[in-house]
Formats: sequence, C-alpha cells, structure tokens
Amino acid sequence: MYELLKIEHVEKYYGNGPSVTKAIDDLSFTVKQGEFIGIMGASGSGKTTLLNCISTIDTVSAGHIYLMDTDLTEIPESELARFRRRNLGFIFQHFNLLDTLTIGENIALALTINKTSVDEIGGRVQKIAVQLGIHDILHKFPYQTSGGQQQRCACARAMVNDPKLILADEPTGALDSRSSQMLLDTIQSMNEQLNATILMVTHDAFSASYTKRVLFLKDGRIFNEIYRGTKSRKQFFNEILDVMALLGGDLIDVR
Amino acid sequence: MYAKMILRNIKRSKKDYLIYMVTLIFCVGLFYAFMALSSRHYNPSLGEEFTFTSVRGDMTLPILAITAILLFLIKYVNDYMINRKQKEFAIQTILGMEQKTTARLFFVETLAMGGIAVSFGIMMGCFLSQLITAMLLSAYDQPFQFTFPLYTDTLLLTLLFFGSAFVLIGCLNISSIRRIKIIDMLQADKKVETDYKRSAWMPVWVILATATAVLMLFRGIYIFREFYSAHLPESLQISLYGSILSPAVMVLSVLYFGLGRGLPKRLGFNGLLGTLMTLGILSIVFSFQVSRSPHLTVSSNVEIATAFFFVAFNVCGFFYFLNRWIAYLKEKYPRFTYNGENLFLFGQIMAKLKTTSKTMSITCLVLTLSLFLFALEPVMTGWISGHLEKKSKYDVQVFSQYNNIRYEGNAAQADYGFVVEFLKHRNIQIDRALEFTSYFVNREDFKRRNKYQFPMLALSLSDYNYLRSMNNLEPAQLGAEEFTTQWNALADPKGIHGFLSGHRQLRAETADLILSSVPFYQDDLGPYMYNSYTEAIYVLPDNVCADLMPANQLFFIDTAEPLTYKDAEQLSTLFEQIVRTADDITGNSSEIRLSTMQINDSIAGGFTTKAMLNYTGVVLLIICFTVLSLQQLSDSSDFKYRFSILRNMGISERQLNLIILKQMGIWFGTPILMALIINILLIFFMIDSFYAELSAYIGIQSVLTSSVAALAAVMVLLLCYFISTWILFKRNIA
Repeated sequence: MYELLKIEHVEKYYGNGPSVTKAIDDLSFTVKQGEFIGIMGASGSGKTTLLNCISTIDTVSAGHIYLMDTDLTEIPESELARFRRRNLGFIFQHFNLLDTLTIGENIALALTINKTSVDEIGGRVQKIAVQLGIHDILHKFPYQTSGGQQQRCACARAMVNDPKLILADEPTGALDSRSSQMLLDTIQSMNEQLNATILMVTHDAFSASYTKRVLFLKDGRIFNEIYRGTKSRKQFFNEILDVMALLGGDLIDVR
Repeated sequence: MYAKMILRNIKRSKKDYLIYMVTLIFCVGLFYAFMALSSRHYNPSLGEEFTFTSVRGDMTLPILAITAILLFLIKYVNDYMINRKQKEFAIQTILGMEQKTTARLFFVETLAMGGIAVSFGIMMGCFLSQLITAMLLSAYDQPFQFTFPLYTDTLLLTLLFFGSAFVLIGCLNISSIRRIKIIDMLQADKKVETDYKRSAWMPVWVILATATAVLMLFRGIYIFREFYSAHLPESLQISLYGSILSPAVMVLSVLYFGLGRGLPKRLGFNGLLGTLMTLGILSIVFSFQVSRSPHLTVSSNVEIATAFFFVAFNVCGFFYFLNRWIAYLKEKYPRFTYNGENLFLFGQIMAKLKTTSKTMSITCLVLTLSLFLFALEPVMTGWISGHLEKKSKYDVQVFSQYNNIRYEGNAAQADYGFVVEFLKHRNIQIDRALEFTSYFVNREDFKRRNKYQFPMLALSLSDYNYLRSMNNLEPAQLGAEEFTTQWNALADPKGIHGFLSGHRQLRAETADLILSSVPFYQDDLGPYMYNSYTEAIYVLPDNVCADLMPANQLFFIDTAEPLTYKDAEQLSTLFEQIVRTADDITGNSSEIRLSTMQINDSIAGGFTTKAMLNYTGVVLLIICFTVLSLQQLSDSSDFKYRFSILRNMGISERQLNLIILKQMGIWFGTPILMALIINILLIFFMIDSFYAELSAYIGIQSVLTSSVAALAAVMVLLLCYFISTWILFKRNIA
C-alpha cells in the first residue's frame, strides 16, 4: 500500500505579534491508501485545524501536505474548488445535507457538481444507496428521516464520487449511541469493502476504536500514536482510554 | 444598559434593516414632497392667469390614503425582524428579563430606525419637492429657481403620520412578542420551510371563481335569449354558445368536485383549479367577442370586471402550480435537472415557493397594478389636458340649453350683453365675437327629451361661416336648397357615413333640402354648439333658418389678451348672479366657459393626475420590490448554511455567484415578467377599446412612447433594488 497523504512539518498560527496562537506545531505523519485513521485530542489540540488544512478550506503557515504527488499547499486558489470536488469527500458532524433536496438528490448533487454524465447518475446513486442501506428513503426529504439515516446519506454523498480521501469531522457527534454504532459500522465497511481511505477526527474513544490507527494530538503536536493491529476492538478501546487518561498529563507519563 | 443594548442591536442588524431603511426614506421623501404641495406656505409663482388652489385641495387626502398602504410594508418588515430575533428574545427572557421588557426594547429599536429613516426622508423630500415644483412650473410655462424649503405644517404632518404608524405597529409587535412561548422562540430557526400549513388562500379564490362563473352563466343565457339569431355571423354564434358553455362547465366541474366523493373517479382540487383557470379565460374571450360585436348592443362593463377577476385568479393559480410544474420538469427532463447546479437551484426555488406562493401572487398583482398606473399616467394626463384643450376653443363661451324649458317662447331668450359690458369695463379688448342662435329643424323637436331622441339642431350658414373664420377656416358653400352637417371632432367616421347615407334629404319647417356635395365638415369648432347627446349640427341656408324655432342662445368671444385668473373668476361670479335669476324664470340652463379657467383646470387636473398616478405607482412598486428583496434576504441564515455546503463540496465562488444571480433572477423576474405580459395585453386592449379618444386627444404613437418610457423608468428602479439585494445577499452568505 502506497502513501496517500503525507503531512510534512506543518505549522499553523493564528493572530500575529505577541498574541500569536500556535494551533499546529511542526506536525508530520503519513496515511497509507486504504487506511482508516483516527485523530483524537482535547478541545484546542488542533485536530479540526488539521482537518481544515488537509481539506484545503484553510491554509498552512508553514510545511507541506501531499495527496499522492500533489502538494495541496501549492495549488492556486482558482484550482482549489476543483481539486476538492475531485479528490476529497466530507462527512460533517451536523450532516450538512440540503433541506431543499431529497436524500437521493443530495447524493446526486455531488455527481452533478463533478459533471458526471446524466446517464450514470441514477445508477451510481442507487448503487451507493444500496451499499449504505438507504435505498428505500431516497425520495424522502432529510427532515423526514432519522439522524442516522441522514448521516449515512452524508457518507454516500462523500463516497459517490470515489474520492481519494474521505475526511470525517466528528461524524457521530450529533447521533444517539445506537445510530452512532450503525454509522461506524457503515464507515468501517466503507473502509474494508470499498477500500476507502478515511481520516476521522473525533474525541469519542468508542468511535476511535473502529479505526486502524489513532493519532493523539496535544497543543498542536503528536502526543501519541497507537495501532490496532490484531487486537480486538475492545482491547483497542481500552488502550485508547488509557492514552486519553494520560492526555491531561505530560508526554513522560506515557512512556 | 438597555440603551446600550438597543444601540448594539441597531448596529448589528443594520444590514438587515438596510433595504427597509432605503425604502422608508424614499417613501417619507415622496410623502413629504407631495404633501408640501398642499402646505399653506407653498406658493409657487404661476403668473396672473393661473392659480394653484385646485391642485392643493385635490391631493391631500389621496396621498394620505395611498401612503397608508405603506403601513403593511412596515408591518411586514417588522414581522420579519421579529422572526429573525426570536432566538435573541428567548435568551433575554431566559436570563430573567420580562417578555414585556424584551418587546419594549424591540419597539424602541424599531422606533429609532424609523426615526432615522424619517429624518433622512424629510431631507430627501425637500429636494424632491423642488423637483415636483420644477415639474409644476414647467407645466404652467413658468421659470424655476431652486430653494430648500422646510414647511412647518408639512413637517409636522409627516412626523405625525409616520410617528403614529410606527407607534401603532409597535404596539401590535409588543403584543405579538409577548404571546410567543420561550420554547418556540428558541426553536424558531429550526423550522424548515417545508413545514407549512395548508392555507385557505386558493380555496377562497375557487369559491369566488365559482360565484363569478354562475354570474357569467346567467348573463350568457340572458344575452343568448335576447340576441341569438341564425342570421348572425358564424363566429358570433359560436361565441354566444361558448359564453354559456364555458361557465356552465365551470359550474359543473365545481359540482363534480363537491358531490363526486362517492364516485370512483374523483376530480381533485388541482384538477378543479386548472379547469376553472382555463375555462375562466376562455369564457372571457367568448363574452368579449359577444359584447364588442357591432351586431349586438351589449355593454362590456361586466366582462371587464370578470376579466380583471380571472386575470388575478390565473396569476394566483400560476404561482400555486409553479412548484408542481418545476417538480414535473425535474422528473421529466433529467438532463436539464442534473446539469451543473440546476438541481440545487430547483431545490432553492421550490422550497421558497412552498411557503410564499401567496405572497408572490399578491406581489405580482400589485406589481401589475403599479405598472398599469405608470402606463395609464400619460394616457390619463393627455386625455384630461387634450379634452379640456378641445373644449376651450374660444376665450369666453356662453351658451344656453333648453333641456328644462317648458314653454316654447322661453327658448333662446337669454341676454348675455353684460359679458361685453364687463370686458369693456376691465379694458379687455374683444378681438372677434359672435352671438348666435341654434334652431330646431322642426317645431315638434322641442318636445323630444328622451336621452336617445334628442334632435340634431341647426345653424345658419352665415353664423357657421363666421365661426369658421374665427378658427381661420375657409367658409362653407351651400346652394339655395341644400344643407350640410358639422360634426364633433371625436365622432366616428363610420357613424358619420352611416348617418348621412340615411339622411340625404331634410324636411325643415318650410323647406325641403338636399344634402350638399360637401356632406359634412369635421373641423374642430368647439363642443358646445351641439345639442345634448348629439354629435352633429345641421348647417342650413340663412333664409330657411329665419322660419325655424330658436333652441339655444350662444355667444363666443375671442379677446386680444387672455383674461387674468382674477378677472375670469369675477366674470364667472357675475354670470352666476345675473343669469341664474333669469334662468330660474325661463327654465333655461345657461353656462359660461372661460378659457383661462379651463386651461388652468386642465393643467391642474393633468398635473394632479400625473402626480397621483406616479406617486401611487412608485409607492406600490417600492412595496413590491422591497417584499421581493426581503424574501431573498430574510432566509440568509438558511442560505448561508446551504451555500457553505456547496462551498465545501467544491463549488467555486464564481459558480456560487452565478447560482445567486440565477436564483434572484427567477425570483424577481417571474412576477415582473408576468406583470409585464398582463400590462402589454391591457395596453393593447385599451388602445383597441378607446382608439378614437386616444388618437384624438393624445395620439397612439405618444401612448406607446410614454408606456415604454414609464416601463424604462420602472426597470431602472428594479435594477437599483436588484443590485442592492444581490450585494447584500452575497455579504450574508459570505
């Protein structure tokens, strides 16, 4: 498996002069194609800033971000929108579905924006909907469906263009535990069966336990990194909790 | 602390208030400017021949009434602000502030905004009033000098009017805010647009349409029974049948809808509405063809009223169905739907239409009315001035009418010598004058007093030729046993020829005459020589007239210089005093027409009409554009959310701008386009119906030019609103 995403010495500052805040501090790591990685950390640790920089919504202050061979920090402003819609898929905490369109149309919108041929649209929407188990609610409006169904629609919308990387920002943040579990199963199956590369930001240990690797951020730096490997989800969950317990302390307490 | 909160609120929501403020400033400005005309202190120098009194009195009340419509706009904007601020109200209430206090804070806030708007509006009004004065003075051909007038009475009236409007609406707001539950306030922004209640709007229209259909059915049957004959042209026979059948089918479809619940195939509400809309237009077409046919004598007043109703009904129906049509288009043409961002655009428009089809219908109707007023303005103004211009042919016109005289001996017995005495006394030189008599062709004509039986009178050739010379026209020639006719300038040539073909000979009291080789003249000699309800007068040889019974006494004078307004007023008063007493005895009805007063009335009337129509048009237009604009801006939080999703999905700013433009284009464009189409039809209908009057008083070319000019002005105003809304929209979603 090749390296899909490479973060190299990325720094991000807000403000200037004496009031400067370092949101990301010399961060470097890589994500392999087909990986499901979780980013964890307390509020203010820089995880959402990192996600915004990778998604090209925000710019870095220093360093480079590569997706395959493309340096995201060097893409001109005019090209950013096109790059985003061809290479990235997004799943947000609050679903971000358009209330004016049906579930099916929300998924189709991603395809129409990407100028997919009209003849293909119907088939591809149907296919992804079947894979994510929402094919029977395609004609409904978001307000007529449950939170879990809406989030699965958001997943389908993110996946339908076959993006190189899917970025998920607290996808279970607005769901109850049952819906969360169903959604995480869906995301996991997207990773395992559709071979999607997923980067998920979360502060929920249960959600993180579905991933293959978890990066812990603290004050904009990597605090710790753990791999699931052959461990069961429960063991991995406990390991995550252990690291989280130490997050409040210092790096030396972990080693 | 409260004052600080209010100031902060005003600062923060100034963007939302911007369109409202601009609108209000403009309206206050117009109100002040027009009301200034009726101020005691307003005294433009119009010259000795003119006075401004009639304009002053005519305008005050209509302006107040028209401006009162603005109350709806102020209420609309206030409701919109309340909706936007509900969450804020909830937080204030949860913090412990009484709901009463929250409401009062909002009241003070809106009052402050209104106060600012009124002050700027008054400043603008001062400038506008100068523009209107310039317009007025140019109408009277007087020079204009710019001043900056602030009239205390107008100022107080403006403050009082708008102040009470704000207080009235503020009180309504306080009571409505106090009634909202905290939980509803908190969740106000969570309501989605699809969550709407079924309104009674369209059902009410359907009931009205049914009533109108019944009325048209009865009228159709009545006209059919009265006029139908197998000799009528085929197309007219079809129209006669159609004007019964179409309303009959409308009534039947309503019955089928109401009673057909038990039937296996039922007509749905949408089906009923569609049927009524289509057949309504069809029945109007049929009934118009019937009422305007030269073969039947049917008045078209009912048809005009029902036409207006069905146009309005169809506009409402159009906006009701628009959503369904877009949904159908979406389903039917996937290539179009899935082309670029069309899917998103459709969603935006459909979501908005679901809740606003009623507002859109009303806006479109008001817009139609406003555009119609603009188109009507040049026609009405031209009509009034052209009409009076035609009547004031001579400087002084005095004439009697025998309509109320019982005894033959009293006819044409008035003495108008005192008019000459008055003019001499005032040193007013008489240029040319003619005192003459019109005659009954036959003595028994005196008794024909039925409206449609009034006889055509006669005039002696010498008098007629003198009148022609007063109008710089060549004299008419007649043989010893010949007669000719003089027709009103407005008479229809077809009617003239029709009459003359049936009246080639004339039996006067003592002579038989034949129609001259020049059978008629239609030069404009003024309208007062003709008998009531007639359009022509016979011209007979002098010797024949000598044996006829006199009917009316007439005295036309041209003076060397026009009379001053004061002199004209005094002569008019003197005439009333002297002639009324004599008339009371004889039964004569004498009248005086002075060109000074007629021209003054014509200019004043023309100016008042022009001012009122333009004022109403602008106020209505501003209301419509503000509502359309606010509808786009009111959902900026929803729009911000939706457009941010698009941004995240990889839509560039340029494409977003294009979507906004398309969305606003459709939003503003649809009602305006509809209003324009209806107006174009109305203008052509008007030209077709009043061709004679329009071409005589104004000229068709000038009607079309003025209509186009008015529409161009409307477009400029629209462009201003469109651009400012577009800028605000882009800011809101940024």
